[in-house]
Order: sequence, then structure tokens, then C-alpha cells
Amino acid sequence: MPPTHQVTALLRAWSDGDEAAINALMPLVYGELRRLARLYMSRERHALTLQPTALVNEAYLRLVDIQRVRWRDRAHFLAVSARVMRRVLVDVARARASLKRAGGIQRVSFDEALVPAAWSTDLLALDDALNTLAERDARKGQVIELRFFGGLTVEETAEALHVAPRTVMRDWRLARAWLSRELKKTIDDA
Amino acid sequence: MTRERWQLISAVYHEALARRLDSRGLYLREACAGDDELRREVEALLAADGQSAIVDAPAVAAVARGVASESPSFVGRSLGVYKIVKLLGVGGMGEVYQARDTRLDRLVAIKILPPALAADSQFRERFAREARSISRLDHPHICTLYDVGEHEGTSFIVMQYLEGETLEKRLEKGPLPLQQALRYAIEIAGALDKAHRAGIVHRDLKPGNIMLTKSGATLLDFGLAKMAAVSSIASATSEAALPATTITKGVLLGTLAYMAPEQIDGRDADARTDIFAFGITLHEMLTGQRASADKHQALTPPALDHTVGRCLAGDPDDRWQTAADLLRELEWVETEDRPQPSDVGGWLTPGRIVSVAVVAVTLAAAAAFGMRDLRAPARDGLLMRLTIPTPPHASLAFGGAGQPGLAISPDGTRLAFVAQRDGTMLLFVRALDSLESHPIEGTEGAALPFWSPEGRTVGFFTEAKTLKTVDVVSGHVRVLGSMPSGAGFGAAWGADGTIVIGSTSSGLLKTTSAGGPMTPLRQIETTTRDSSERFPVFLPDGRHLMYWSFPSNTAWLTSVDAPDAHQIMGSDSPIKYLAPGYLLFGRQDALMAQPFDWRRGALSGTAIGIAEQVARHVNNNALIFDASANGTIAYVNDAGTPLAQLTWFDSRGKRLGTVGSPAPYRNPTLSPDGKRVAIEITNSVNRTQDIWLLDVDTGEPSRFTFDPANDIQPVWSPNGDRILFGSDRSGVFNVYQRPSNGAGRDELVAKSSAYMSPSGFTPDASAVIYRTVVAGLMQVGTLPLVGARTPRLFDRKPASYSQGRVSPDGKWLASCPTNQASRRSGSKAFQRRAVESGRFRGTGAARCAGNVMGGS
Repeated sequence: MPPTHQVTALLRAWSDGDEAAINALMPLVYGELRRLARLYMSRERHALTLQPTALVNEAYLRLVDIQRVRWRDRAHFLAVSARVMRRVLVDVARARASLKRAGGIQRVSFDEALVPAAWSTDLLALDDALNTLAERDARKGQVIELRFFGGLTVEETAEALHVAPRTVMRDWRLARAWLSRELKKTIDDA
Repeated sequence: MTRERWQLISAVYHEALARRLDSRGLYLREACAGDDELRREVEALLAADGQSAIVDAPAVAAVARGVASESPSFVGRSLGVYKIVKLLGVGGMGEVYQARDTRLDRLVAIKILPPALAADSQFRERFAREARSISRLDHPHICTLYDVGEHEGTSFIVMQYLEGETLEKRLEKGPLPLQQALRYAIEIAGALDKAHRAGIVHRDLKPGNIMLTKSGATLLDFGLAKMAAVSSIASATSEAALPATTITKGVLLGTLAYMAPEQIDGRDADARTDIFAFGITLHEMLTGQRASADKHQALTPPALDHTVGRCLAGDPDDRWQTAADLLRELEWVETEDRPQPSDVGGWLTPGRIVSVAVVAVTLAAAAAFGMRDLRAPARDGLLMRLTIPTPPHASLAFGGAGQPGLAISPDGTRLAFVAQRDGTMLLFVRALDSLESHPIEGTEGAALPFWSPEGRTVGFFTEAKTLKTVDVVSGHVRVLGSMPSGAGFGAAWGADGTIVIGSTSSGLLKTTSAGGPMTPLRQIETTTRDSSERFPVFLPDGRHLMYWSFPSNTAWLTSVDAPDAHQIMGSDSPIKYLAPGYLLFGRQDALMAQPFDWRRGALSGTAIGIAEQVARHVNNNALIFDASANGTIAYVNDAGTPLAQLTWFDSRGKRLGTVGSPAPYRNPTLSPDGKRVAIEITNSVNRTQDIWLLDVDTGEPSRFTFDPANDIQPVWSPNGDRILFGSDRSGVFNVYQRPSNGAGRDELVAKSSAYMSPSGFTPDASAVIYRTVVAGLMQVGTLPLVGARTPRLFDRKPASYSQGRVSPDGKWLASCPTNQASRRSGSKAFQRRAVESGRFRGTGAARCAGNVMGGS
């Protein structure tokens, strides 16, 4: 495992627009995520009682030397975390999909267990739909990213976006309805 | 799609959502006139709104489920004689599984070591040596190490399997009661003593390593921390072992809190290191909060404070030197603190918690009832509920040999009820606005009280089968006569002095308030009707009355003027009438109200619930409740103290948020700096009140008073440095105080043989406003905190003053007088008076809510 300041630097580089940084970052993040998910599952009877923010935060806290991070604020850190999480999960789902297309190896590798098979198709469709939504209405796209991938609460999302919780709820409701409709279309088309 | 188009869809969608379902169609037709595409788009979004979506559960939850669905590698496999059943947990030292020992056919817990470690021969050797010494520890409160083994390259430890929850998990629900915490502490100290004598130090004592089982607290993972330490040395030479064995930042944070300073510094741990961790753990059990070296909350009893304080000394030399000393100290504290026999026991069936709940319902609320059902209790402040605690040293009688009973006076202001004091049934009367219930002497053996129409006299039956009345003002008891067998099942007092008495076999009987023979109210034909006519109730004209028949479980309407009776409904409980036109009856444990025209004897509309968890009499199963003519309902609640939720509201009544979790809170008062709330919480074990402080930001409660007696009515000093409260630890409520930081002892502010409890402070903190009872009425006065501390009452008027608060300029006292003549249910005239002159002035229309806090 690289020293934490290295991870911090990678995360910052990526948030500043260095796309190459994420390639180095991702294996670290999902390795840690997987370990933590497993740990949490052993503690909790049901995944429903998971505290997603705690899990995501813990993953980053272990990877990042929080003292050295000079993020603009906590909200910004959470927002970047959510984006990394999206990249990690979508990447795993994509790998799984290409494996399936290749038709060959049935064995799922260690990290791919992170994304359940049935879910990965939906996840890829969601990622596409989310990109479309963001073009139209950037804030609604962010609300979904923060809440779904980042596990943020309505209040945390409001804080990250500097809007009222009520606005987050309104955005969430419309974006959610729109996305389910888009995903349904994708499935119907397929 | 353009951004503009999207914004239009968005706006129409939100507007449609804001409308009621039945008017959405119309709205959409208008808003999307000529734009069918827009309408289709919005309709599709509205349709999707109600459906579940992939984004509903955070992505991480799905990830966790995915990970969980992988079958853990060892489940189902066998390690020698051990067959792995399931994964129990994942710790720093590897995964823990439940397994079955097929040879001995018992469940065991198996810890599997990370392969990288197991490959290190030097580690394996030390590990085996360590395990051997631990396995020799045989103590009921130490998790036994059965075996260490190796199977096809997998190294593992076999331990006793314990069923229960960890102390860590338990503490998430809040601190433990004192007696229970002491019990666990003694068990753990005993376990430490045993291990230390064998030369084994735990090194990682913390709530997560203490399992609470049916047979008490058991210490887990003895000595494993040392093995872990060994392993991290090993890992320094083995790159591959790193992820599994390095103490990660997160784990370290969790454990750091329990580590002694010398351990953090990397010095070697000894028995005193465990004693430090024990102190932190015990402090957390008692307060729910973590202490640190040389810093902890004040604990009571003081001996316990000393015990814990000495565990937490930063320098190991200043701590208890052995667990044996610590154990002796704890055993002494426990013996001293054990409740005296008089504090426990009582007459009620164990486990049954009862309080009298009085529901004051205004007429407006009653009228609104017709539109509400059980799932939508009345809101808008029309319904007021308050719970009356059982009088000190008495218990509510509603079963067993005595007859239950409570009766609310016709004007709804006083409650008469039967409670047991020193083994004898006695009538108690309590004005709803006062804090105390008064026993009525001379009413020994009382059962089933009922009020006279003018509300001054209470009639009751005695065990000796006589009918008596007592004037609640003068206390004069009068014997009206003895009753025939089977009579005495409820009575009603008519406006003309007629008293109608229920009986089990002779139908309703009558007599007069002046005494005289008991004769049948009317001739009844026993062949056509059940002759058991119980719990009569007069209707507003004073001629008609209702009664309940048991065991036929029917409710009837009759009149003193006519022999016939008319069945109203089937009911498994007595019925009452609630003005302006409701019939009250029971349905299971709920009290129901249904519109009722008594002149026609006809019910209409639907029944709605007024109260749930109403107690029933254990003998005849009758629901125990009463209703006054003006709409106050009293019932015996069988669910303990209702839970309340502290909630912030702004001055307009808008709900802003909550503080802490729901609990049986009462009398919340905010500290002057707004950071803490002092509250009364009912102790679930002995049913007495203690004062707790709640952190407004975190909602974290910490206990403030620890006396087994009732500690009530907290009041903050103006600068917030002290909290005054009332306590009946000396037998009667007196005023005590203590620094609000929890330090020091409770100090008696003023000793009085009469009830005294604090209500407010003067702004300069020179005097306390207190409450006391004079001639049965609550009065307020000032108690100077300087000089001789002589209490001084304000002018005594024939009224009760339930609260007293001084204005910020110190010139006015606000109080809530409850004058007999002007009283109205639910609202009281608000008055103020000059502190100096002691005279009252009314402020007209203002309303006084007092300090009533409703449960929700």
C-alpha cells in the first residue's frame, strides 16, 4: 500500500482534472471498499442497516491522510469521494460486462464481487442516463451522484451543493422519476 | 431536448405534484393545453414517481450485499474435527466463525489466522506458547480458549462460543443502570484478577471485547492483543502480511480511547494498563461517555467516583495496583448502594407498570374526534394528556382483593382514586393542577369512588360492604348504610341526591345521599333480562341513566322513571357519557368514543380511539376509566410512562428538529447558554425520576442525579453553573442543588417538613422561586440563597399557583393560578405580580401553558 500522502496527492490531482490519477487510485479504493464492506456486513445483520456515508468515509480516511488534505471544505471532499465511488463501481461493472461479452471465463475475479451481476447492467445504464441528465440539468445529476454513489444524506447533499435541503428533495424526486423512466426505456429497447 | 424544455417539464411536474391527486388531471390539461408531448412527458414522470428506483438504496448498500452473498471461504468446510457453520465477524486478527466440534458435539468459535502469519514459523511457535498459558485460565467470566490447531496450512484458535451481544453494542442504546453496571464491573474485575495472577495481561480491554450473556459479562480475546503485537513484528519482515495485521488508522482510533497513556507511548503493558482500560469501560457503562486519563464525569455514589477516578490516573503508580483491590472496592460500593427492601416490592404484579393518565379533552376536540381515527391522533393542541404519578409510598390498586377505581370530578378538575398505602386501600384525591395526591384519612378499605354532582363529596364502597361518603374539603366521613350481597359494583350520584348502585344479581339499587335503605330502582323481570346491572352513569337530565351488564357484555339505557331498559350496544367494558354527545366504551385495550344521542339511545357515525393501553381490572376485565361532564377523561394507563421526544420549535410553532431519542422525559429546561437540556427521566427499574443532562448538539444524555429517590423539576441558575432540583430523599420533597458540571455532591438548599420544589430563579441568583403546598393548594414563594434562607410565601389566595418565573428585570413574577371559579380545561388565565408588592395582576387574554410536556 502506498503511503497515504501519495493517495491524497492522487485524489487531489484527479479532482483538479488529472484523469490519469484515477487509474492509480482505483485499485486502492476498491480493495479498501471491499474489505470494509465485508467488515460491515459481518457486524450488521442486514445491509439495510449499513451507514453508507460512514463506510465511504472510512475507506477514504484509511487511504488519505486527512490532516494533509487541504480540501476547500468537508463538502468538497465528500463530493469528490462520491465521484470516485461512481468511477470505481462503473468500472467494475464495465469489466464484468466485457467479460460476459467475451463469453469465455466464467470465473469472476476477486474485485468484481463488489458489483452483483444483476445490478451491473443497471449500473451501466444508470451511468449513461446520469450523463444525459447532467447535460440538461447539472445540479440534479450531482444530487443523484452525491446521494446514490456518495451515500450522502439530504442535509449533507444540501451542504455540498450550497442549496436548501428542500431543493435537494425536489431535485431528487424529479431526477429519480426521470432516471427510472430512462432505465425502463433502455431495458425495453434491449 | 433543450434546457428550456427541460425546465418547463420540471416546473409543470412540481406544480402537479403539489396538487391533490384528483385535481392533477385538470391542472395538466390546462397547463399543457396544445402541447400533448409535454403532458405525456410529465404524466410519465408522475407515474414513475411512485415506483421504486435503482437509486433508492445507496450504491454502497448493494456493494455490501454483493460482498455478503459471496460465501465466506471457510463456511461449510471442516478444519479437523471442527465443521465451520457461519462467519461471526472479521477482526484485526482474522475472521471468526461459528463451528461445531463434531467430536464433543458442541458449538465453538474459531478464529482463523491470516495465512501470511501462519506461514511464519517463529510466530507460530510464540503463538502456541501464548495460547497454552491462556488456555489454563479457567474463570466463569473469561471466554475459554479450548484449542489451537492447524489444518492443511490454516492455523486457528478454538474458543468457547458465547451467545449474546457485546457491551459495545449494548452501549449504543445508552448507559446501564447503576446496579447492572456494578454487577458487570465486578464480574470483569474478577476475571482480570484471575488472569493477572496467572501473569496474563489483556492489553485490549474495551466494550467490544466484553460479551453480555445470560450468565453475565464475559471477557473475550484475552492476551490476543499480545499475539497481535507479535504478529506485527513478524509482519515487518513480511510484506504480504501487512494489510491484515497493521493496526489500521480506523481501528486504532476506536481502541485508542481505552488505551492507557503508557501503552500509547509504546511502553510495556502490565496489570495496571488493564485497570486503566477497565476504568474507561466502567465510566462508559455508567454515563455512556468515554473518559480519558485524569479526566472523568463526577459519578455517584461518591465511593464509585473515587473507584473509577483511581483507575484513570495517568501515572500507573497512582492507580489501583491490583485487580483484587479494585474488585474489593467495587463489591463494597455495590453493597452500600443496594436499594433498601422498602424501596422495592410493593403490591402490584411484578413487571406491571401503571400510572394514571388523565386526558383533558376540550369540547372542540371532542367535536373534531368524529373525523379522526386511531392512527391519526388529535393534533392542534386540542387534546392534552398528562400523566399523574402514583403517590409516594403508595401503589395503584386495580386488581387483586380490592376493587379498582378512579373517578374524575364533574368539573374535571379533581381525580379521586384508590391506591394502596402500607397494605391498606385508601382514597386519594388530586387536583389535576397540583403536584401531589392527598390521601383521605378515614377511607380505609375504599373501592370504586364516585363524585357528587357538585364535586365536593366522594362516595365509595368499603371491603366491609358499606356505602360511605367523604367531604374532600373537610374530610368528614359519613356512613350511608350497608349493602345487600352482590351490590357495590359502581354507583352514580344524581342531581336530586339519589344514589344508584350497581349489583351483580339484584339489578340497580337506589338510596339517597342522606342514607336510608337500599331498594331496587325498578322492578325487573329477571326472566327477560340479565339481573347483573353494574356501573350506572347518569345522563345530563339526571333521570336517564346507562349501565353495563356482565357477563352478557351489553350496555343499556334506562330511566329512574320507567321500568324498561333499552340495549345500546354490546360492550365488554363499562360505558360512560361524554358531553356533548359521545358514548365512551372499550375495545380491547383502547378507549373509544362514538357519537351518541342519549335521548334516543342511538349511536351514529364511527367510533374513534381516544386512548390506548388502558388498564383492565384483573377480576371482571372492566376497562378502568371515567369521564367528567365537561369532557375530561381519566384512565389507568398500563404502558408505563409515555415516551416523549424533545423537539425544537420556533416562536411561531414551526417544528425545527429534534434532540436526542424518545424517552420518558419530563420537565425539560434549557440551560442559559442553550447547549444542554436538564430533564427528568423515569428510571425503568424502580420507577423513580432522575435528572439527566442532554447535550443539545449530539442528543447524548448523561445522568446528573443518582439518588434512588425521586429527583425532579430541574432549574438552571441564571449563569448556568448550578442546577436546583427537588428531591424526596429525606421523605418529603426539598430543594437541592449541585454544580451543573456534575462535580461535587448534592447540597440541601433548604430543609422543610412540607413539600418544596424549585420553579425559577431571580435574575441576580439571590433567590429561588419555589413551590410548596399550603392547605392542599400549590403556592409559590421566594427562598433567598443568602443569609438565613428563610422562605417567604407570596399572598395566599384560595388558588393554586403551579409555576413561578421571574421576568428578566427581576420585577415581575409570572405564575399560573388555577382559581376554582375561573378554571377552564386546557387554558388558564395568565397572571403576573410584582415581586416586591406580592400582588397579582391579570394579563387578560394570555394563555398559560405551564410546563406541561406531552408525550408523542
